[in-house]
Amino acid sequence: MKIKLCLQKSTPRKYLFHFIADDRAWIDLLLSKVALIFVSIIILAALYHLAADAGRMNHDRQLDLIAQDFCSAINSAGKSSYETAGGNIYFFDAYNKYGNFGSGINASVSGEYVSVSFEENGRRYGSVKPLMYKTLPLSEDEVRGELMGAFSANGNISQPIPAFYGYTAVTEFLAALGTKEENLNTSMEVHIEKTLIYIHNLNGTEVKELEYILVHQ
Amino acid sequence: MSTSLFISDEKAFMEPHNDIISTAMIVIGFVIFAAILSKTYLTYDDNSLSLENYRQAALIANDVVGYPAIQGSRQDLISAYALDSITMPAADREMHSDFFQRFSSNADFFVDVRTDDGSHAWIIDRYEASSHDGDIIAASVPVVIELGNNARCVPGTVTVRLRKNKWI
Repeated sequence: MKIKLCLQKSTPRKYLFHFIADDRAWIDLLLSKVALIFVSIIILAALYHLAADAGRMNHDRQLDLIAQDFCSAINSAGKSSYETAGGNIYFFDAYNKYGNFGSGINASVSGEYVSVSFEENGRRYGSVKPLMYKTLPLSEDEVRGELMGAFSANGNISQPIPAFYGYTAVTEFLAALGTKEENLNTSMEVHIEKTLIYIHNLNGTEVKELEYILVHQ
Repeated sequence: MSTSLFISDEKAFMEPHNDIISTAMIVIGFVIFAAILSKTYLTYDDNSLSLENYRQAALIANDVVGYPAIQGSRQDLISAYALDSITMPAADREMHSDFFQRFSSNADFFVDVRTDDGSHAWIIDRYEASSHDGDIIAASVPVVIELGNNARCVPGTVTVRLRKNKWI
């Protein structure tokens, strides 16, 4: 009754006084509890996302490591001189180091990069690493066959590509071969080897060599 | 006086706000925790990328040192004459293109060869107008450089400066 009276004769000052004097504090309680509920929901959602992101980051980090390992194997083959380089064999599941992924890893290689990916519950994780050396996702026989078809010579030391085709035409042809992405079976061994492709230079007396790394299964 | 009023006030005017203050503190704590966590991860990611680039730069540096076309009279020497031929602008364009032929276009780097006394320096770059700015990771290998025809050998360094790959 007293409160009603105050409201009827309310001026801003009296209203404020009434608001402060009202010690039931129901609106304070309501507001603070609502705020508390909102904040709890937000914090719980953030924690849930943080935990989920940590799991995703862990997958990404492991895939990064696998891609880096494979990329290093290819780059090391590129660095070694042709005379000392034999064929290297790479295993994706060596020492069971990728145990968390089982056999579900997908790997592919192209002339510019290696890619490793993994799918879990409809979500795709992946890592891509650039290659430092020119690479072809083909075997020695396939490269020689392609060169034979395009230039009538397989580019061996005994059968260099004739000079009239031009150096640029050969490198562009090989670059086009490298754009094709080759999927690899991660449970099988991967062969990494260096090869030389010979081209006659313009006077036709000397040969020039092009270095490429071949990655195939 | 005001402090004593605040302590002796038993109307519990502040009481409902206590949980808001404590919640605000939790939120602030959580935000700081998330910020520290993300900063740590970003630093780790940046460092691992730098390490990865350094490994690649070191690999290329060792490859460059062992490249037969720039070797001097012995395998462990680098010929200044050969370096002169491929330093930009390249006197021997064929040799220059052969030098970079085996590297993929991802390997965006230039080679800086210097004698330790600073008297000679060679920059071998793939393109003439390449920028030498931006994020660069470098790896060096000590070498011996053979100067001129009198076979004067001086110690030097081959440094490969790898520009950070923008798409990874």
